[in-house]
Amino acid sequence: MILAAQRHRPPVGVPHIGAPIRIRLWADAFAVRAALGDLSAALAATLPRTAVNRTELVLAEVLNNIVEHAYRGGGGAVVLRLRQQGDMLLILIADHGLPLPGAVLLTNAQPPLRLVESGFGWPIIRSLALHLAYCRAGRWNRLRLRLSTKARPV
Amino acid sequence: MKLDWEQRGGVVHVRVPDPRIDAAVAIQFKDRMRGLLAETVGADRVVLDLGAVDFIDSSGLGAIVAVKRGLDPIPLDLAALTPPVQRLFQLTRMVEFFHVLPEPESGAASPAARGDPVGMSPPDCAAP
Repeated sequence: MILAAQRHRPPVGVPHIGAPIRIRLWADAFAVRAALGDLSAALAATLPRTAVNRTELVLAEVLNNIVEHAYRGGGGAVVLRLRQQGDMLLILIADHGLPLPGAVLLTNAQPPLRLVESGFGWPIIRSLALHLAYCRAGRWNRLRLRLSTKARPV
Repeated sequence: MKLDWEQRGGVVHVRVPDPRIDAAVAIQFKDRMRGLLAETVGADRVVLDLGAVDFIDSSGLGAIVAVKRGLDPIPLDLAALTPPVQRLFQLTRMVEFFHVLPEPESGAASPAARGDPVGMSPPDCAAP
């Protein structure tokens, strides 16, 4: 009981996004852009600028992967849920496209280190997320992420 | 996606006026950059001014890298990176492959040149 109460009560002085945010969107590059714009505007009301930028970049990479790989450009439903716990954003992204090859979450953590045109997405996600978990539940892909809401030290 | 550009001597200055180079416009950005650079004559350096851009994702980054590779051996330098864009180049370590200028130098990016009808030829209009 005490744990549950603490979970919903952020420490005093921590900027808080308030109620959980839930967004449904179609897996399409322009819909992703629009959803990220709305989300960033909502987060910018309370979170530091660098935390908003970090969240937008990570979600752009996750959502672009869904557009390109899970739905292969054919579109489909995506559900995005965010809530804040202390100084972390807990994020769930669900789609019912093709499953993620399991190894992707374990490898590919390093940026390419060569002048190449792709392969940046997962390294960006890996380097900015505090925690990352993927599961396939029935026909749904569920990716859970934790991101810091703290300002990035300069 | 619109690109503002002008050539001064051997240097082509390109300014991206849109705030985002993301997956929705990455291919268009790449094609328009290639199109306008194909029109220039005698360029020995290209400066891409990103001072108005506050968001680039991996698709946009890939498009910039593709333009740079396509230009080789002519260098593609970057100018006026905003903090989120600079962060992206650091995170992906692509900063190691680009010369980054703190300021846009001159040309298409300077406010004085923005209204100059001679210096600013949108690539769409310049095509024969």
